[in-house]
Parts: sequence; C-alpha cells; structure tokens
Amino acid sequence: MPILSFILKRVIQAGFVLIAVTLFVSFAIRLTGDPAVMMLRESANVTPEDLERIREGLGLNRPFLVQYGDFIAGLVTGDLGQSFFRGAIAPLVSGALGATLLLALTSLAVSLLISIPLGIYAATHRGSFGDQLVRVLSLAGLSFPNFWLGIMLVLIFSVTLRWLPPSGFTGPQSLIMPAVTIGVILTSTNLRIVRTTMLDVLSSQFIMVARAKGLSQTKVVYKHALRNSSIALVTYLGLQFGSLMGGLVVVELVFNWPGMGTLAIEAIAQRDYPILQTVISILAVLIVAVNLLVDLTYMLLDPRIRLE
Amino acid sequence: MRETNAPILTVENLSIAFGETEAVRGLSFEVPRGGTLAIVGESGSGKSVTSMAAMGLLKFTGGRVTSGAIRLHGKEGETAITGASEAALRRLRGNRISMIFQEPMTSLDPVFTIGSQIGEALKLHRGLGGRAARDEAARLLELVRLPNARAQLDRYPHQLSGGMRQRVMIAMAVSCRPDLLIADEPTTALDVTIQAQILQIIRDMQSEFGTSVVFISHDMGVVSEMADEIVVMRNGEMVETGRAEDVILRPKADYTRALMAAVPKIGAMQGSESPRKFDLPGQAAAEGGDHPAPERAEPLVRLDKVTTRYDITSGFFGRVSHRVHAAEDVSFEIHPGETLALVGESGSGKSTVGKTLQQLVRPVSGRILYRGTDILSLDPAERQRFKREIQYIFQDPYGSLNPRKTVKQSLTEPMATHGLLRDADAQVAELLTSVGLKSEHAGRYPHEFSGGQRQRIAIARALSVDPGLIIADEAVSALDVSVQAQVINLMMDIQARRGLAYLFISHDMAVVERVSHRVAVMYLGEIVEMGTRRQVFETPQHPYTKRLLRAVPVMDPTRPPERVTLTGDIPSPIRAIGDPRRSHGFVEVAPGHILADNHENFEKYREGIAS
Repeated sequence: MPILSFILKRVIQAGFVLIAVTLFVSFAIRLTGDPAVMMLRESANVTPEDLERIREGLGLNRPFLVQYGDFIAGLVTGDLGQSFFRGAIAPLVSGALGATLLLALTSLAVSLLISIPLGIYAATHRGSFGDQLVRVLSLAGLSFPNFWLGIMLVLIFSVTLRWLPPSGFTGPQSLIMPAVTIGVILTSTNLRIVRTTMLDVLSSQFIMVARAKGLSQTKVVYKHALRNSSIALVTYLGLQFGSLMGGLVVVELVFNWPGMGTLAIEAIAQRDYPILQTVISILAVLIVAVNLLVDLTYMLLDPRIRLE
Repeated sequence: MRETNAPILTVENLSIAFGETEAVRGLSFEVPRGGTLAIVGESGSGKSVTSMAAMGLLKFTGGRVTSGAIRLHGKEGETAITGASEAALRRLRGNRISMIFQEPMTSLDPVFTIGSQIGEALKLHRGLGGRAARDEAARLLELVRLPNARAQLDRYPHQLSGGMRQRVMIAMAVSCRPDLLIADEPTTALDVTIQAQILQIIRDMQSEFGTSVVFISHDMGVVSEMADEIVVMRNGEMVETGRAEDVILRPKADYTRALMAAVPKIGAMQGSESPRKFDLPGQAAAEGGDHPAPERAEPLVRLDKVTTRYDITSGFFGRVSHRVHAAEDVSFEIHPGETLALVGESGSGKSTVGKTLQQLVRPVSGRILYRGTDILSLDPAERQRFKREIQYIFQDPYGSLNPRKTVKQSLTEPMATHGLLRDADAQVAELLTSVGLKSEHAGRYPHEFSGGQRQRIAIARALSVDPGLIIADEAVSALDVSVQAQVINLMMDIQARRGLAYLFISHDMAVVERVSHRVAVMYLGEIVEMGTRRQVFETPQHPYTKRLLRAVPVMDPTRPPERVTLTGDIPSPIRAIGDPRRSHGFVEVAPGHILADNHENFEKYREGIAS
C-alpha cells in the first residue's frame, strides 16, 4: 500500500509540474513578438486589417486561456494541430523526437559503457597511475565546450579524412560524431560520479564484512559495492537527463541533426508558436517521465525505500 | 601429533605501519586454544589494527605489516597469515578465522536479505547452495536465538534492530565453525541489557563450537566477564599481559593501574552519601572532604507532568497515524548544586526530556518551572532570556563545535547573544583556565584539540553565559575512560565551585553512580523509579531498574559470569493514534524514593507494549 501511495503522489506531482511548465511556455512565447507582424514584415502596404486577418486565421485573437486549452487538449489526444508555416505538427515532431532520442540514448549508452568500468577501476586502484590518468582525462573532457569538440571532429573526420558525413542524418555513420561529442561530456562527469560513489561505498563497513567472509574482489566490487552505488548513480542520471536535453540543442545545431533542438531553434526564428510550444512541452514531459522512472528504480534497487 | 594445549594463534614481534606512521610496534602474544584473549586499550592503541592484521585485511585499510609474523594453528595445521597470498587468505577468512565488528547498524549490506548474506559464506566455504544453505542459515539464526529465525531470512537489515543485526553477524561469523573468532568491540554500540545478551550468545557459541576468541574492547567490565587472558596496549605497544585475574586485580604496569583507577566500577560507591571524584594518579585526591550536598530549599527546575510526542505521518495525505511517545508525564525537580541523573536505554526518552527542558522541542502538555516561573507560558522574548539559564553539552565533541570557528569565537558567541560580552579576551581566558585549558588556546580551531579537550571547550561554552543548570547529554560517553574520568572530575569541581546543577543524561550506570545525587530511571518515555543515588543503586525496587543494574558488566574476574535470560529487544515507544493510554501512577516506597505502580506486573506491561 505505501508503494502505491508513493507512486500516486509522484504521478500527481508530475502532473502539476507539466501544467506549470506548459502554461509558462505558452504565456512566455506570446511575449516575444506577434507572428502576424513577422509574416508581413517584408511586405509593403500592410494595413491593420491585413494583420487582423492573419491573427484571425491563426486563431491568435482568441483569449489566451482558450488557446492554451486547445493546445493541451491537442497534446492529450495526440492531435497536435497545424503549425503556422510548416503544415501538420505531428509528423514534424515525431521525426525530430525519434532523432533526438536516438542520439541521446546512444550517447548515454556509450558514456555508461566507458564510465562504469573505468570509474570502478579508478576507485579500486585509488591513487595508482591509472586512477590519476582517469581523473586527468575526465577533467580534460569536462573542459572542452561541446560545440568546439563537435567542430573539431567535423574538421578531422569529415573535412580532412572524409570518413564521415559532416552533417544531417544519412545513415548510421551520421550518428557517430554527434554521439561521441555528447558522449565525451557525459562520460567525463559520469566517470567522476562512479568513482566517487564507489569510493564512498567501498569504505563502508559492510564491504569490510564482505571481505572478512572471504569473498573475492570481484564479488565484493561487482555484487556488493556496485549494487549500492547504483542508487546514487541512478539519482545522478535522472538529474543529468535535463541538462543532456539542453546540451543536445547546441550539438544538434553543429551537426545539423534533425532533432528537437534544431526544430525548436527554427521555430523560434519564425515565431512559430504551435511548434515551439509542442517541442518544449514534449521535452518537459520526457524529463518529468525520466525522473518518475528514477523514483521507481529506487524502489527496485533499495529495499529501504520499498519496504518503508 | 599436535599438542592440544598449543596456542591457536601466535603473534610474534608484529609491527604495523600506515604510510610512515607506526601503529603497532613489536607486539607478541598467544591466543589460548578454546579460550578468550582480550586486547584492551584506548583509542589509538593499535588494538583494532592488530585484529585486521590477524584477518589479513590490513591492506584494505591502507596499512602493512612491516615486521613479525602471525600464525594460525587450526584444524588444518599451521598457516602463516602474514605473507600469505590473497587467495590463501580468502580461504581462511570467514572460514578458519572470522570477525564480528563494532557497528551492527552498518555491518550488513543494506540491499541484500539476511538469508542471502549468510548464504554467501556457506556457499563459499562449505559448498552449500539453495535449500541446504537456507536450512543451515535458519539453523544458525536459531542458534543465536533470533526469534522466528526462518522468517528473518527474507528480511533486510534495516528491518532489524541493532541487537538483532549483531546476532546475525555472529551467526554469519560462526557459520563455518571457525578456529578463531575475533570480536572487535562487538557490544560498544548496544544498550546494556542487549550487550549482556550478546555476550551470552558469544560465550554460548564458543562452547558450542569450541572456538577460540580474541575480544577487543575498551570496556574493562566487559573484558573482565569475557577474558581468560588480557593484553593491555597503549600507543601501539604492549604494556602488560597476563591472566585476566592478575591484570585486573593486581596490575603491574603504571599505565594499567591508572587505567583501572579511571574505570567507574558499579557498586564502588556503596554507603557513600555524596558523589565522589575519581582518584587519578598525578591529580590531587578529592579536594578536602566530600562533594558538597545540594541546597534543598527551593527547587531550581521543576518539571510537572511534561509530555513530549513526535508525530509520524503516513498514507497519501500524510495524516498523523502514529506518535512517538517520547516523554510521558515526566515530573522531577532539580535543586541548585544538585546532579540528577536520567538513565535509560535507547528510546527511553531521556534525551527528549533534556531537549524539552532546553526548549529545543515543545511539549504537548505539562509545565516547566524555573525558579518558580512557568517558562512555557512566557512570551518568546522572555523565554529567550531563560535559554541562557539552561545550557547543553552534547555527546559528540567532534560534531558540536563549528570546525571553522576558533575557540574564542565559539565561546564569545553565546555571550554576545545574551549581551554578556564585556572584555572578550579576559572572559575567554578565564573560561579556558576554569576548564583546565590555557588562554593561548583561544585562537585555535577545534581540529587542533583531542576529544577530551574539545569536550572541555564545550563545557566552557556552556559556562560562558553563567547558567544555573547544565544538561549533559551523554557528555562523557564518547571519551576514552581515562579522559572520561578527568572530564567528570572537572565537571564536579565546577559544580562545587559554582553551585551549578546538572541534568546528567547517561546510559552508563557506573558513571551515574559516581556523579549523581539523585537518579531517575526511564523506560519507554516514562520514569519508572526515582530516588537518591543510594536508594536506586542499593535498594532498587522496580524490575526494570534491577535488570538494568544486573546487566552492567562487573569488573570482577573471580565472579563467574551470570547467565542472562534473553528477553529480546526494548519495545518501541511508537503507538498508533487512538491506542489506549498505558500510563501508570506512582507510589512512594521511602521518603523521596518513588516507584511506578506497574512494578508488580511489569513483565505483562512490557509484553503488552511489545505485542
């Protein structure tokens, strides 16, 4: 019973967060400028009636809450409506979302595959040459601005060596450079988190007890220590997901990756409210959902939460 | 072939270093087969480090053996531990030599069940798996008399109390019938009645499996109950060794004699009306005559039926479903110059009473009178002024001083708060001298001081606002015994000089017997017995007081250890909303000696709560 009430509480909290985020986004976008004016900026002899006609056509002359209500209803039913300039929103967003998730999950997987074993190695060989090397590399990785790293990769692998396509999405090989760019940044921070939490857990008394039982180093580290540090690691990954989404925008631009970031930037340039609203709202849903998932993962990993 | 009375473990000329620092130097001893060797010493003596070396675990703590040898002469012949390969050590650990650690709360992995953690050792060393391992684990838990042993297998460590976890640790340690069991302060973190039960279980396991034991402790009472032989260590070196009886009753080394003098011995104060300082070598013996008796005229503080409860919320709407009945109808008086000791085990509510008195938590009902004024009915500004009158000394001298403030800053802050600051330097210097420190210590930071010195600073801070009452909440519990004796002597000197009153909160009956004028015994938030020290210690009336006193280990190696009945854990003070009140009244059995009127049916009362 307490588990159900725990989950229900989190779901309701998530609902409130989403309402607040969408409301704020819809409201704030409308403060940035009038799309009707933007559309007719290049034209001569614009009369107020012309502007009014465009506003009427876009539904902008209705009260804000009605527009907001329409938008939410659309999100819930999946009918995302029409953009101002680019036709139906649903196919645009679903394509971009797929591309972004592909990129995000690939880079996350790459970073975990590197940072977990390396972080464990550094923690179990504290102070050794390998540990020092890991720490230096991780600091170096953190010090690159990710767009700069992206540009460097393009210069080397596309422009000079001509091994990989410089931009866009033309096949699996297109994924490599953007995923490496984000993966390097993620790996650098994750490496530190894995190392620190492992060091923390390894100094626990129950680890010494496990050794005193005669368990092998492998059992001690991969069974007892890793399971315990995964609780902290999952928390961190949940928090990281938000900034990962933010970081993607920049990298998508560098590689002209057809994802949510690129779509959002284009929509901002055109004052295409419906697209921007939808993109930001869906990213918010995604982040909230991931954090909800993190809370549920706790219960799997930590009996102290499950059986409280 | 082997001599049966040959030692089970020999340590020869052992030296251990951490980096450049030597932790143990030239240590040699033998552990008698089937017997118990106790290693005693204060912090930094090297006793725990030695046990880690015997387990071959030293390298995981950052230390290394620089010379000497440790050999085990077990069922499987002689094995060298120093210099053995990690693979060989792994076959030994948990199998031929096993260990019980000090902190039962952190000794078990929180994310695996009890059954799987015991099963690990069974699988590793005895090749048991699946059903067989489960059955064996259940049998082991029955051996350490854990109630509902089989059901406990699927529970997680956080669902068990400290005493139960330590039983699980013991079950795990004896699971492969080791030749040698090392117990490193196994009961230090436990309540005294639970300690008695755990010691009993260790003795039982020893006779059941014929295991030899190395028992590491700072508590001479416990050592006296457990040890056949004793090694006394100080600063990494052996000071004295011999049969337990000889070392305790006829110590040869000066250090051992000083250590024994500093140990509070229960019963040592029989027949004495007033508290008495410790006779410490090098310190002037009790300053001219008895410790002054308190003024009996008007009480300084009076608690009148004070009840403090904490809410526990649960469910979707966070409704209050249970309450911790931390203090129920607590009434007592403290007179100027008097020490009232509040004794009890974890969850008895003794600290809550202190916090309520200091106005750190607000009671749900009752009155607190300070020199006749009801503090709780005052407006906040006036109440603030009363906070000055009652000061607090906490248990942990490492946590209660701000590490980024100098001693002077820590001492002047309360004075400034209450507008008492005139000449900071002179005031600080005077405070420091009054607690036996020097005025030049004022500019230093807490990390530059030892635990005992920090507790002196904490006392100086409490004195800085010239209070009438100091609440000492386990103020000497974390200190080594010789330092503890010095701090107690200091507190008593200050009391004699200033006529200060103490509320001395402690779980340590022997210390309480030494320092207090009157004693109140608490159990589950209620006072069950209260009287003068002699009344409570010499003619205890309540079954709980009697059990508490019986559980205190006595430093008398000639007395065979008493068999304790395993009564299990202390019940929880948490009750559901709407639970019938189970309060009791009081009877006065002698002038000033009051007793809860549940004393005749206490066992039923106790079980009623526990169920």
